[in-house]
Amino acid sequence: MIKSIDIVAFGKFAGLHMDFGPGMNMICQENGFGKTTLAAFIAAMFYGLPDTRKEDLAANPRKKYAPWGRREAFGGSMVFCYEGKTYRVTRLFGATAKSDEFSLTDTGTNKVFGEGKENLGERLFGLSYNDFLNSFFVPQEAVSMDSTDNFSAKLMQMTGGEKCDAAREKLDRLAVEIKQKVQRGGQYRGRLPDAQRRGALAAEALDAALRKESEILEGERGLERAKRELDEILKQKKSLQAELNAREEAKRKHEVVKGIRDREQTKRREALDSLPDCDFEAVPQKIERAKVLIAQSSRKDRRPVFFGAASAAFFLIAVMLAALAQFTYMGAALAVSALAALAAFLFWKRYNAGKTKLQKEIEELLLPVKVIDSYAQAIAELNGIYQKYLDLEKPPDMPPAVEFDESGYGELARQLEAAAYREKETERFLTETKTKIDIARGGLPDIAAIREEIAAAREDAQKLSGEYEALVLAKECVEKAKENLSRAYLPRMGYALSGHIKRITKGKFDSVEVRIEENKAAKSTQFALVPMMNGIPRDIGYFSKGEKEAALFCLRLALSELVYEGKMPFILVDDAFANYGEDSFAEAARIMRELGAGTQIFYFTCHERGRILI
Amino acid sequence: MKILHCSDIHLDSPLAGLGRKAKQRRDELTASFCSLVAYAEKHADALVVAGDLFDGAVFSSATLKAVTEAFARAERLKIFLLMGNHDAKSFDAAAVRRLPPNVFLFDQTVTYDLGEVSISGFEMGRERKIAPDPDKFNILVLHGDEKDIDFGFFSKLPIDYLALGHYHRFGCKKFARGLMCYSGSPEPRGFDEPGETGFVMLDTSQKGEKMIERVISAGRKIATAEIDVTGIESGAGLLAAFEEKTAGLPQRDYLNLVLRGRRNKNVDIELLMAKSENFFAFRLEDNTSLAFDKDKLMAEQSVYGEFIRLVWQSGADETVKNAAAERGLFALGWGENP
Repeated sequence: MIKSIDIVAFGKFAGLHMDFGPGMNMICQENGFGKTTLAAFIAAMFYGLPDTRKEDLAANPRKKYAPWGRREAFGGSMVFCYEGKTYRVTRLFGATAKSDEFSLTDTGTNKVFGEGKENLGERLFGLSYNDFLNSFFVPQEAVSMDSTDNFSAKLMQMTGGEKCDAAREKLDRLAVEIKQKVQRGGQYRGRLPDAQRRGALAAEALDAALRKESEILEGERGLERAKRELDEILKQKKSLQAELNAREEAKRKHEVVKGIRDREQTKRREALDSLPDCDFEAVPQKIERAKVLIAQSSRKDRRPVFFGAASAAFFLIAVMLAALAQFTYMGAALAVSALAALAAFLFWKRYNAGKTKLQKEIEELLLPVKVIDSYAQAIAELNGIYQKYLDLEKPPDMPPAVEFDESGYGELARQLEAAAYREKETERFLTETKTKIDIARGGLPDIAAIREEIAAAREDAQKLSGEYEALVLAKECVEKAKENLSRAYLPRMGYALSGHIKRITKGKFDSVEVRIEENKAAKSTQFALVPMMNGIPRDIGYFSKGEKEAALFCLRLALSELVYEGKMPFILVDDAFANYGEDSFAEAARIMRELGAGTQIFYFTCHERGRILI
Repeated sequence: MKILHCSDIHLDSPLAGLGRKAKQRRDELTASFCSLVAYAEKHADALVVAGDLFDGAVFSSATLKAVTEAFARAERLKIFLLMGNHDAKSFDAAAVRRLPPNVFLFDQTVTYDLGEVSISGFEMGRERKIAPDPDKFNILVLHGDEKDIDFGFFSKLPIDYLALGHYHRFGCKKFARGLMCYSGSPEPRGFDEPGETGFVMLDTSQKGEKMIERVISAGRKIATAEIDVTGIESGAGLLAAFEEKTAGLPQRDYLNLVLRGRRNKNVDIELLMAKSENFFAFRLEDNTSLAFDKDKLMAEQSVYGEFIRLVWQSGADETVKNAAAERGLFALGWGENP
């Protein structure tokens, strides 16, 4: 129970003191008194003021309630009872939470509690700041309806459903920014699909660049191979050329030598041809034979001379004998001389025949040389010819024959030509390939930069994906929270409501059910109040405005009871029944009085009737 | 003999998280490596790159040209390049095979004799046998970790220095009869490589830990700043906390800003993105959770309580639940004056 408040400065209040008692505390003030400010002060005493630093006053109560123009701290103190003890809590608020001052004193013992300024309210009520605000303060707009108000929206607001709807929309908007739900043009739009597409495009670019790079590397390998091949071709060509040159040299040598040898052969042949026909092999023997025969023929046969001499001698004798008239002896001597002459003649003939034969034989032997001057000359000549022959027969002093195989020469020349062709082709290939590689390298994108782009896109996508997952989960939980809360509260709220409504409407309705209905058009759930008349559900249109407001008020009370778990310490009601009809107001006032029996109520009104009735 | 040991340069690798500055940074990394080669040419006799010079088969002609020219300019320097797990395909490229004559690969030859020093190396997955001469100063160059390298086997050999690559952070400890070192990357590339980066200068005339000197060479560093947003109730407060935490940090560096704690729903952390231009690169890690007491809310009879109960009953993972709770409470106007 709150016993009193002392406001040093808070909002429009300064130097305000108010005492309160148990049960109903009616504060009858004009509109604009500051009921909301008072409720905020009470909440601030228990919970402090959040330090949001936001410009929007609705979101920055420190700024909102700081008295305008005041430099000093603002705030005040409040005396309250808790579990039989009385405490004074004093809070002064500065520009920031760090400069706030707090003290909690047990007024009975004067013991000061310096700690726990942040969570005094939580420790006392077991409620967070939000829960406290939602349950302790019943603003007028929560329980009043104008022509545009939607009952479901009011209930939504009461149970936090409206917050959930707003949150769901916000989360949905954020999620859609990341990834739209529906494909357009065959693809999803949003930052996540964009990042994924960026990554995919970069990956494609990388693939293309790597393929190009691979082609370049392959080209370079081909270039290396071609260079090696060219080296081989040049080596081969050099070798072939050397071989060809050697062959040509050999051919030349062969021809030169052949020429020399041919000439020599011709010379020899001519020389031989110039020699007279002769069995040259037999010449030495012939010469020897001839010499023998010449020696024989030179041997004189003395017998003709002897016999001739004898013949002559005997003739002389014969003469002498004749002279001597020794005719017999002269006849014998003449006979002997004749015989001797005959013998001489015969020997001389024989000798001549023999000599002639010898001569003939010698001449035959010495052929083809004719004996002209002498045998010696003929023999010398024959010897000369024989020597010539011998000289001609001697192996001539000429270079050895050089062999030359004409048959492989043509093949070699062809191979060389083929090698020269391959060389040309390979050089052309090298030039073209090098140019292609240079162009390709020049056109190659910065692959490292593409990889960086992929990594960045992946990182973005991962972040966004996580963000999206979180937003979707948050949205689902917000929807479910709304549904759960509604379902959790509904039966009890309906039960509490039924009793109150029956009284307020003087039994017009048996009961009221609070249902959750799905609004397919809005894709959300909404509340529906279904009054039961004689056991039959009726349309909410059966409720008058005042009855609706009464229902709202009862629902709000039921909600506060639920939050406080039945032990509501106090409640601040902001002129809830301003628009009620007299009967409804009376009934509502009675409810308030009943409520006041167990709960401290701060009831603000600007209407006198409230003060009278309550 | 002085030898510069570096690794994991990853030229032309994609640099995520740098946006439009990625190309600039890639060019910087290439220029930085070329400067490293020039430095080695002046101060060392040999340069060992223990793998991952490139990032893959894909690299630009300009990068290859810059690297090739840097190697060629350092003609008196012997450069030993080992293939790593990333640049195996780079070395397949014919262009890489046309490196200048002072560059030596480990594809055919396993050991290079430099007089009193020998340098051996072979690529991951290849079984190569080495027989280091115990009378020489033996350097073995490998790329990988304990899954790829049989350290136990190599520790029994007379290895004086095991020049490693694969890890991007520096690390060094005793090994065999000398030391083993991961040189780390000479320059950081991304936010996941905070701390100092550089290379190792090895002096074969020294023993033990004296044989190496770690040289910090990075042109830019990755700085990390943490802000606990609990209790910060406004954007101005958040910006003030940011200025306090980042005072003195060089603007040429990367800044990884980590937010922790319970965030007041009225504090928009996206305000900090306006500060991103103060640094070369900026990353915001939001590890905050909305300043709501889940258990307390779950006990409420209000729509907020019911909403939170439903969120936590869903089967979603914690991150999604927290995000959904935050979005939903904000949409429901939780904390606002009703």
